[in-house]
Amino acid sequence: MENAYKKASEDIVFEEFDGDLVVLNLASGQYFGLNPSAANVWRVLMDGSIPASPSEAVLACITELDDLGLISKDERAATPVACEITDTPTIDAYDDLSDLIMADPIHDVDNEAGWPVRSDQD
Amino acid sequence: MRLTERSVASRIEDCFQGFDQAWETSVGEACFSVADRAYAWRTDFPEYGGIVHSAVARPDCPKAAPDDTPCRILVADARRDDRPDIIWADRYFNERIVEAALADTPYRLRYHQPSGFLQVYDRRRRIGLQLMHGLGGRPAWDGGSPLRNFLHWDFASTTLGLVHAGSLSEGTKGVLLAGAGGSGKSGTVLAGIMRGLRSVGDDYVLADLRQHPRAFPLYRLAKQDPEGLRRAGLENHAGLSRTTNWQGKTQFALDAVAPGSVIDRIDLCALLLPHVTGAGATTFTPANAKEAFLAVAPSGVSQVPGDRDKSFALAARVSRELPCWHVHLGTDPDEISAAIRSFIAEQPA
Repeated sequence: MENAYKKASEDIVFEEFDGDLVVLNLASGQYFGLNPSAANVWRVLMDGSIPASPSEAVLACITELDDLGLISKDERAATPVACEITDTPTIDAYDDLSDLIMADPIHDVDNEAGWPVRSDQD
Repeated sequence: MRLTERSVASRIEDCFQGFDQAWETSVGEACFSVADRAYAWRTDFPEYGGIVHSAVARPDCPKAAPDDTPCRILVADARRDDRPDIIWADRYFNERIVEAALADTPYRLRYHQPSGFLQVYDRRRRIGLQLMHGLGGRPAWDGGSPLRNFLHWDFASTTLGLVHAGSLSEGTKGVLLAGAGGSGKSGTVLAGIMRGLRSVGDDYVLADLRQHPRAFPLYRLAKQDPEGLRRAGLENHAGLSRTTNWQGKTQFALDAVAPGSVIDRIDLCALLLPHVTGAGATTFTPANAKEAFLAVAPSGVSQVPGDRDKSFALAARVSRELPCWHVHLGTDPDEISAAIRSFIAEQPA
């Protein structure tokens, strides 16, 4: 039986918006957008299950979530469950936002001049 | 006391040894309020008192109920022998590691390594200590939003907390404005208040989502670069300082350019995402909650230390609970302000 997955760390937080998911890695500052199909994969994994009879696209999605440092293998065994996939699961990285997180807050970021402009201070 | 990443969780409570004694020997107690909370503070630096008093939106305190204990914040001179002696002993201060170490404790800490500026807060007892090596021993941004981290740590929850957004209202019914630097957020707020709209702030506000969405003021200051002042017709305003801050911007009180413009509360009816388009007229198009979230969350989550998961969740709630609209700004401040005034009037209360 396959192992379940879990969030890679407590630094991984996420919020849902009308079927889409936005995931933030607080440690790296990277934001990711998951389309509804990828979001369904994520929910199945967060429930401690795995998609039953996963397509190649679903397997690729799980691999990508792992490669991005958002999920990691858990010790528990996972139960296969149905996972609604209506199109290719996609994960978008919002790279233009990550500098803002990684920058030393306040000092390095000029919050009026535009991202990812850093202030000259310090 | 030497604090490190390894020791901070176990030793941070000791930072408050001697707090009460230091409090009693500080001078100049003052108070300010945010929403229904009172903040009593004392300082070893009389000039810092003026900085705080001129920055906070409500430099007074409501009458406290008998069981209300105001938060106490002590701004202490780290050079004094009778003040807590706290040193960050690691070579670097890794903010995220320290935040994670303290996440499950009632304590929060922020250290600005270049200046040795240290803030530590006990959320359970609502006492905060800010240590500075002289009046200049603080980050350059501090003067625009003094003691802000303490307010964040005191309020931080998923339904009540600081949000990086501007605001405009007609009476007490109004909107938040969120967006990246250069989106026109601050300029729109400035244009609005100069034409009779009101505000609870142009940079950070306290968002309260526990019942009907509301926003409260934190600070009454704004800042604009020379071009922004010129666009607002303020380049020669008698009430504005000629000196600029660390960003090359002029910092000023909103009510210096628009008396009475800062109000106590806004009942929120929408979240606007401004865009500078150069168009002839200001128009509004619907935005989805995810777009709004990505306009609100990143800067707030990054700029304010600690409880970032709560800031993230609060920004998400704001984006989901308020109708969200893109506002494509025209070029005429009169027209922009009139368009926003009409928009507010048309929204359900």
